[in-house]
Amino acid sequence: MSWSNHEHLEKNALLLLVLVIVVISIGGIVEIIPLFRKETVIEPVTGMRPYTPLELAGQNIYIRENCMACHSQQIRPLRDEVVRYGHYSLAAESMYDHPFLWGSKRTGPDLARVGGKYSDEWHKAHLVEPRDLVPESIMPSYSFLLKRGAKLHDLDKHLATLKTLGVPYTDEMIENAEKDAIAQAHGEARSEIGGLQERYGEKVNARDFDGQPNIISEMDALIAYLQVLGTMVDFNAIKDVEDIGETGGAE
Amino acid sequence: MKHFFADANLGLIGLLFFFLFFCAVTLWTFRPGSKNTYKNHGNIPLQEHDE
Amino acid sequence: MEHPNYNYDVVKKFTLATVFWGIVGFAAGIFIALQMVFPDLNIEPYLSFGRLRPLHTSAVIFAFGGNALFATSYYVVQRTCHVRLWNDGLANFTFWGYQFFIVIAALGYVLGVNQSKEYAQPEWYADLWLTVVWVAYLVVYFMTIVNRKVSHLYVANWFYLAFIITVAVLHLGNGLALPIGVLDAKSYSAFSGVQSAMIQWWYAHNAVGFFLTAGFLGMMYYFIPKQAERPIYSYRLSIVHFWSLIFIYMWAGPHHLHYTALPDWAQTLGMTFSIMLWMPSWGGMINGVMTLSGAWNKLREDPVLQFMIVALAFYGMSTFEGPLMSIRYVNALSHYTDWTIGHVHSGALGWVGFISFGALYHLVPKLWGREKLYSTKLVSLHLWIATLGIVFYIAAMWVSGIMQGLMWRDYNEMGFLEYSFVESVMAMKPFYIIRVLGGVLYLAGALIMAYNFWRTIRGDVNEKEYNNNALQGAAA
Repeated sequence: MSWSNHEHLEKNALLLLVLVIVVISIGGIVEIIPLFRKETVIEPVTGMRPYTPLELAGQNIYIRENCMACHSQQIRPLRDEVVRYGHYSLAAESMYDHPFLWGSKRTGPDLARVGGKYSDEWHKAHLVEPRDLVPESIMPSYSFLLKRGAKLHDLDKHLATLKTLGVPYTDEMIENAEKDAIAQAHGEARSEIGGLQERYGEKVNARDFDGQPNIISEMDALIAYLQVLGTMVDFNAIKDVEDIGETGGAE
Repeated sequence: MKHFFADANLGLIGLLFFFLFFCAVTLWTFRPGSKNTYKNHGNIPLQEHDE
Repeated sequence: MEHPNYNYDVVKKFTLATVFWGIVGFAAGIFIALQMVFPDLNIEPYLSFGRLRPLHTSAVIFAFGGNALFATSYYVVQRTCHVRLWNDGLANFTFWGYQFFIVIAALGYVLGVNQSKEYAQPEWYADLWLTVVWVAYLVVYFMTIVNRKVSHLYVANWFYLAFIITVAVLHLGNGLALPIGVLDAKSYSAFSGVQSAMIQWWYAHNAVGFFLTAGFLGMMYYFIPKQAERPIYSYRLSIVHFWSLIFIYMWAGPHHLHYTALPDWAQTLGMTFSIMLWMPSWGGMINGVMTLSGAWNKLREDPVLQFMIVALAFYGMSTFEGPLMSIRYVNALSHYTDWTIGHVHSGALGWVGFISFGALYHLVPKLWGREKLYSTKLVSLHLWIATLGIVFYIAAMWVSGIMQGLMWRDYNEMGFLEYSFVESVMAMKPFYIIRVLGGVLYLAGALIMAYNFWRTIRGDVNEKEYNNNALQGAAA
């Protein structure tokens, strides 16, 4: 227990620190860096588009309420999952999700392809009181979403931020973010959905999702998001579905 | 980079390198004279000022 | 030799915070477990399961576990380096700064500020604040090491140092995000989809590996030898243990992403390294347990030591279960089910909880200058009640998890799925009730500990108990 050379000790501690950093870096570098060659990771598909502003607002409610604590959005290429939920999830399908929402727990069912499976009315009633529709459900009720207006005025900032991070939003989309959100939630009742469809495609769901024409509620936004989940990729355009499984872990 | 990482030889080289490195470190802990050093080091928590 | 006048003040604060947050975190766990039995307990919008689950996980991992790591690392580094903790002011800042982080993170969850990244839910402003606190922690710890008066740096400090620096790297890497504005709480992760998934599980798995393992191994390497009054079984093994553990852990993240859109080669690497990880994990466990070789009688007499050894037993169990669950074909069944939840809790309640309780029971009398704990019998009671709680918990989750997995993949003779999803939810109910019971027992144990500490700190000694022991000893 002597005072050996102080400088020597200092160097030793620093050496230990540097060695630790080197040793812990190797695994991460080997596993993470190659994934940024996205063309080797994300299969080419048709139909994927960035979320509309209203859908994005819905996704942000999904994120805020931490729905992923109980619902996954990642169907594995296993026989029962494909039968229960639909085609297994492709890398491309979450490429605009910042962050990914694959989840790790299914207290409730997977939602990767829930879009279009149930009506808007079903979703609304289910979110208000899950046990009215599924008596044995243990999901919390989210009736407050009906009363709370969706925050639409700053959606342009959201889109602009995502654009910086690589989501292909155009300047026009950013400029019209709030307008497009309003148009999508009012649907056929207004004439403005032309611009929305021009920007996000003919397939965009535009309607009054929550059945309350007087308010664009958080319920509108969340249902708009749920109804688009898993519906973007055009599987008919993929000739040999197994082809694209190469990076997807298909057995 | 996909080619680089898909190269079977690279995996083998990496495996061999880290395995040998592991063996070397393990052998190094058995270097002559280490027994006493480690005995002293192991006793550090038991040699404190107030005991 | 002159007493170096250690900074125990900050260690005391972190110790009390550990007990406080432990109780908060366990109680939150019981509440959300109850919500899964009685969904009406979800009080929208603030107290719904989705918002409270990160509150529970953060409270136990970062608040309870984090404070325990701060307390013990500051204690161990001073006593094994024979020098006072560097810079009282900065050390004190790490205490208040860290508690502030916990509070703003928890408030965020309840109010709906959440990034939905598991174990990394706090938004960018809380993340930035944590970075400041963590750098201060690293500086305090590192400078204390630099100033040490013992030529060799004891291995416990290696584990603590690796924990601190690696958590910094993980936090910065996974936390990269762009806020929508400087005055907005909301940010978007810099990564999306597959890349985001890989980076998130690189982070989260190594939060387990370094926050919940390496740090607590540091605790193990100091407190087991101290409590047993014997040096660690093999110092040589501890060195091999250290380097192989920190190297291999970092590769294991992709086992959380089996059969997903993550490329196969990454999944395979993750699985391979997870299986390899079994070896250093058990090397460390054996090193700790064998420290008692030749002194097993101490284990019979000392419930504090029993806590530490039971912790290692749970560590051994969950580090065997982990590699098993990382095998793709096992994972096909276990993933998305309660089995994972059970696995996590055998590690968290059994390993992290028990090694911390053991360390705390060792620390409290020393920090407050008491000769012994108020009551050793209460330590025993805590041990058995908490162990029973863990057994209830993990047994319930094994059964419910495996049943869930089997129900989801069951077919009838017509080739259709046998069960609807909600039928699997209904089948879980009895096990969710058993889980609540397990949690209540575990919390009861922690409350007994808090009472014992309160009396110890007051300076009380349960004379009756110690006199009886003395009489028995004399009679024998």
